Amino acid sequence: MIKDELIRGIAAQNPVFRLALGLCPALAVTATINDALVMGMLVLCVLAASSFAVSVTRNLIPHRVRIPCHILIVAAFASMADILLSVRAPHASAALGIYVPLIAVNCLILDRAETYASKNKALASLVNGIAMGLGFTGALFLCSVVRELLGCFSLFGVKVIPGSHPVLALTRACGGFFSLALVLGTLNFLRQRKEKAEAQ
Amino acid sequence: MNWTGILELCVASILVNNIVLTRLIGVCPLCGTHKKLSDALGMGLSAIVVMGVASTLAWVINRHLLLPLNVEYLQTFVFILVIMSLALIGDMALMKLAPGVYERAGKYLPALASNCAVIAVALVSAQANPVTHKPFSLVEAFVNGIATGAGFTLALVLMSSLQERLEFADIPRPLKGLPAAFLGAGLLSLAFLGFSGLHLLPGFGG
Repeated sequence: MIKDELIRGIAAQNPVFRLALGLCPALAVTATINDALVMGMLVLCVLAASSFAVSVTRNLIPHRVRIPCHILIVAAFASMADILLSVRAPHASAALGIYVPLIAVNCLILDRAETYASKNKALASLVNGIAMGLGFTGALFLCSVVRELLGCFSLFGVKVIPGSHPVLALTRACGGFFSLALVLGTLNFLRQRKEKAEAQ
Repeated sequence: MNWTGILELCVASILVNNIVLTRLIGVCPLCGTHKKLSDALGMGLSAIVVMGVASTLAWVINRHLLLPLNVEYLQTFVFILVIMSLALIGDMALMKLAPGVYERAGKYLPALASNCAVIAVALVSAQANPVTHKPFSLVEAFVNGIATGAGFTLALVLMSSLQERLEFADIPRPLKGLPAAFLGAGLLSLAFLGFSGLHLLPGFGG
């Protein structure tokens, strides 16, 4: 059951590619693979913790005020992640800047709290949160590989393609849109080809 | 703060640091839901008001409550709490006091309350002015909120017009929907890249 859930979170219900949730960080912090992985891990931790907390308290919170309560729970965990990161890894925290506190209003985390964690048991919500977090991290990783490889000719800061004229625009803001569109288009193309082959 | 400084701050917030196309915050409303131009305008105008109020309020809370108590690390949490309650109160007040306005603008308020762009404006107002590199003053925080909202509106309107054109375009099947929208947004963002380093007046910016 856990294995199915993980596969669903990473592939069939990938938060970025299939559900189109949490797009802000997927566009903004994918300029280098390191930043993308740090962001992915942060979202994974906050998502798992808040899914668990929302699920545990789901019978205590009146239905009408559940959304403000969810936002406050997520904001508390996001603030913790922000403070911990700024103490343990000041460089990563400075590189990610305003996007770390903004995890508190990440629509992926709020959507999971609303559609899954507030209706399911604590352990299942925790597993779902981890699966979705892994899917999110994977999506960020794919986009950042495209951006760093073409924008800097390097992977993890190590130069892998010789040459001195990388596509600099990909390292700027517009690169986030282009790389996400490219990755999304490629995945759609592969899926549609597979569906076509199965239909025949 | 003189008029030139305020003008420079507006240019910085609307064009140079456009919240959607340069900072990539609040992208969600771009993709999909607001395909109609009128919807985009309504959402944008509501955003200008909400961001102006949120930015001013965040500045006051930060300067007169969080800084004296030495609890700046609570910024995110407190701003979210305040903006959310503000949106709820505004929603109710608008419904009671101005039903006509509520009918047109009411549906955008809940979406804006949890939009990351509004929280981002509040967080920015508690930091340093991007033009003068000094902490914001109250007037600057208010202007920053309004101008950021205007930048948000500009991006929304541009994107919705683009979406309307894309509806009838012949797009390859794998790129239909989100990828095509993102390619368009990427081109817009590339155009906005041209504004970086734009200084209207000598002595400001950097």
